[in-house]
Amino acid sequence: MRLAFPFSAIVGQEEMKRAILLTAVDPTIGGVLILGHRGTAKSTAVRALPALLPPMAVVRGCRYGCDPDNDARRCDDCRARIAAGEKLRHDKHPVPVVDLPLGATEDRVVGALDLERALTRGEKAYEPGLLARANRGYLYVDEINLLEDHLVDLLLDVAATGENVVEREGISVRHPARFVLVGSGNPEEGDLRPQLLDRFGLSVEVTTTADLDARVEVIKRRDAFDRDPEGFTAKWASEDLDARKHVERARKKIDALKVPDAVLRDAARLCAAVGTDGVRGELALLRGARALAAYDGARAVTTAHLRTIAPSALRHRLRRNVLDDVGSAVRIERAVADVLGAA
Amino acid sequence: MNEAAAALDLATRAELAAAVLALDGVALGGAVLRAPRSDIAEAFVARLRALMPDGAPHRRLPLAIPDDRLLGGLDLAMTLAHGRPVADRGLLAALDGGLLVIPGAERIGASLAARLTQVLDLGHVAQRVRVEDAPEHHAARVTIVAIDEAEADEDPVHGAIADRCAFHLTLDVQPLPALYARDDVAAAAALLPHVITDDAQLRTLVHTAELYGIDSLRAVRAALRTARCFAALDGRRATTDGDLATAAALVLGPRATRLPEPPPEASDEPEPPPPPPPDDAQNQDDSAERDDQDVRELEERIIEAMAAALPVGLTMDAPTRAPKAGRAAGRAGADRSGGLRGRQVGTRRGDPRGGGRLDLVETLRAAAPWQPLRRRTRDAQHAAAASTPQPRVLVRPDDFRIRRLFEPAGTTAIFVVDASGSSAVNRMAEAKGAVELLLAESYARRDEVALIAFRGAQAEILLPPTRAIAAAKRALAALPGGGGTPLASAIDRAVELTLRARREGNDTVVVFLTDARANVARDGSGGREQAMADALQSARVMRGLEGQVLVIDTSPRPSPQAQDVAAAMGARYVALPRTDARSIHAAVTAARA
Repeated sequence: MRLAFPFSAIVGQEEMKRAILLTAVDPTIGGVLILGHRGTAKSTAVRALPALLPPMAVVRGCRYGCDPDNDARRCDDCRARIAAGEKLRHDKHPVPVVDLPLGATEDRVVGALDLERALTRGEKAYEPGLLARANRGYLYVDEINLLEDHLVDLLLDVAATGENVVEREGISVRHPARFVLVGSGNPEEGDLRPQLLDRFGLSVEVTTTADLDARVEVIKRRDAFDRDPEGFTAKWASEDLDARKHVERARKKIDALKVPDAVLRDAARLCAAVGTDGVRGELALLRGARALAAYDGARAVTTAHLRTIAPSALRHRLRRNVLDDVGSAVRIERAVADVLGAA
Repeated sequence: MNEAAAALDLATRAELAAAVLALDGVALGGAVLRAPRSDIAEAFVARLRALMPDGAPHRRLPLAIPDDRLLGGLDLAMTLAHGRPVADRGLLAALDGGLLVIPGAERIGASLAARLTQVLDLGHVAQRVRVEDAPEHHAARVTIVAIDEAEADEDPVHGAIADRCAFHLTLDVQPLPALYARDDVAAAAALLPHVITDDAQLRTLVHTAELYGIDSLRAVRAALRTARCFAALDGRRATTDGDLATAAALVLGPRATRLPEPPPEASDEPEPPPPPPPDDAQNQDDSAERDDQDVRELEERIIEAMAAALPVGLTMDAPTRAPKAGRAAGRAGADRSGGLRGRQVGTRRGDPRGGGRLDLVETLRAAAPWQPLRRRTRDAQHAAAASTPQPRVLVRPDDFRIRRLFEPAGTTAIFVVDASGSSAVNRMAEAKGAVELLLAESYARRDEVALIAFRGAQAEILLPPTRAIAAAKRALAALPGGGGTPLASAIDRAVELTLRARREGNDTVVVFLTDARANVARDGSGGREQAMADALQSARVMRGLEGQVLVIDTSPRPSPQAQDVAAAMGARYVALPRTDARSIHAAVTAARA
């Protein structure tokens, strides 16, 4: 298996990297939508995650990757094993990053009747799908804008509830499926329905950098990696480790972080100013700001954190006229300046 | 090859590409090949195989391949025969280190493209079936040759595939000149890891891509690797400027989207920017700094080499239409025609792994009558195997019944906009406004939209069916007015798009916005009489398709020509003498209901 390009070695694309790291700090932020042209390191960033994130403890033999220390989110299999008096053992595994390819059937995604066992042994058994594999990790859909709407809907539902409920072909199964949905796509090739957009926690727009030096650096690093993946990865290992430590520290801190009332009010005013419907925008804004504050090691969430996270948390929620060309980033910048004052 | 890089003919370019792919194909993805005849494409494949290591596997990809065959899965027939799971590791894993040839690559849909790009990016496929002792991944490092058999105005190969293929080749003759032999490639392979490129060369390559409007850095990386391959094939340990120029011509040339602006006067500021000092210990490569003059020469040399390889019709402006890649994928969406979604309307015999849903009850019912017979046969064959657990029901692949599902098709709205002088004067603005409203609505309904404009000598498909609203809007905004009215040609294009949309399982609505004052015949010549006769003839073809057609007469007074053409097409006719965008929109909505 090939090594993945190190996360820290990705040149630029700060907003994307930040959004992805923040979901590692607080997975409840919701999914991340990455929009941009081909060759802007979208897939690279996602595929680099397992090497970047701290490995997790997984119950040995569990098909859903249960956490040995979390009683509340155990799957039925593990509960049954505990009830039977078994002492669950566990191993360390890298955080799963599961690819969901376009055109994957619903069976593949949610799991289905295990055909082979049904037909050869006459047993009714459930064969877990991609959602089970993605539990406690990331589910990555490239070209999510071309995925059938009902599948996107299903993914967002499961991601929000943390549970996959399967009722089909006479099987009835529910299992934990907590994952961060990362979707990427090129908006030139088709849009996501606004209803779906709104359900992503953060969204980022990535572009190829116009700066010659940066472009040269991208090629150089990529080339160095291609020629000597082990050496290159080793060279960036300390930076990746640094980011990992940041994430670990932030995870410990985040629950204790307070959001002052003034910041709550600012968030509400900001959402009102850009005209987002519903409460999702506000939640994403606050959770994002909190995760950012934790990542930065701040003592409290401040308006500065709101300011930084606002474009990612709100740009995909603007009620838009599809024929209006004013970029959503610009509209948010204006609102931020109006509500929070110039930076 | 360092001399006269610009003068390379198509066959020589293909030979160079073949040698480079034989050497470094896994990293370079492969090639998209356009050839007018299949024997020419075959000649390229044969040449590539002659250069690749002896015994490297080689397969052709049927586009309808089910996932189990492509990526591996359960071998259903063997599993049932043996009563235990038997895995099939799939075509791509079997092809590790080999060559995958894809004929008809322009028909690769979004689903297949997604699977292929994943494998190209990762170089392995995951084991998809739980079988004892099976590894988690199988290496699948493949080089692909995507043979593009599209007609001139059809969609090209899917953008995600094209972007990952280093070479976009056009080939019109065979055989290729045999510049290299397998041994040369083998010798180069040993040298390739040691070939270095100096910093100025790399910078110039990046800069060149920018000059020609090539955004994808994947292309630059491919050009760099290609240049190194040339050096290795020549037995050198450093790339020369000639290597760079040839690589740029081969990899970047066909991807150019615009011409570079002419360089400013030589006396002005120095151009391009001088390379900055080498940044840190990371580049041990650049031993000697190259002066400005030297870099400029390299750049000129590359531009000269690129000139011969550029696509026709480039201008100095940024492209106004969506880039090819976007157009290709816009229609991609879901593969709707398979009957794999929607409401169940029955069952049919079939393989449940191609995406179909197994109907278990029907499957067992189909297997039931055969049980006694099958048991006798089995017992006769496996007298000794009585101790192993035996399946209780003997099911054969023939018994499988999958659900037949019915799903209402999507709609493709085809707008045919008259941009001729007679129509344009008053009506263009309204027409554009109406089309924009309809576009917005189609977007909300997830319909596809296509746009044909006609003016001057003939009609042009400005936008093939797409769901990307931004592309549609741009195409419309760029639509100029004035000139003759080639109505026959417009109807022909509309027929073409209707047929294409039908092939993808969509219903169609064709909306003409015209005064129907045809004055350009199908062959592009003037003359009202012939023009009208041709238009009526085309209209009858359109009628034969029995689709929904609407003619909106945009002339100041209802025009008899428009009524005649509408009648010949079996279309609804709406005269909208004094109208704005909204009333046109209302008329179309009414017609569609």
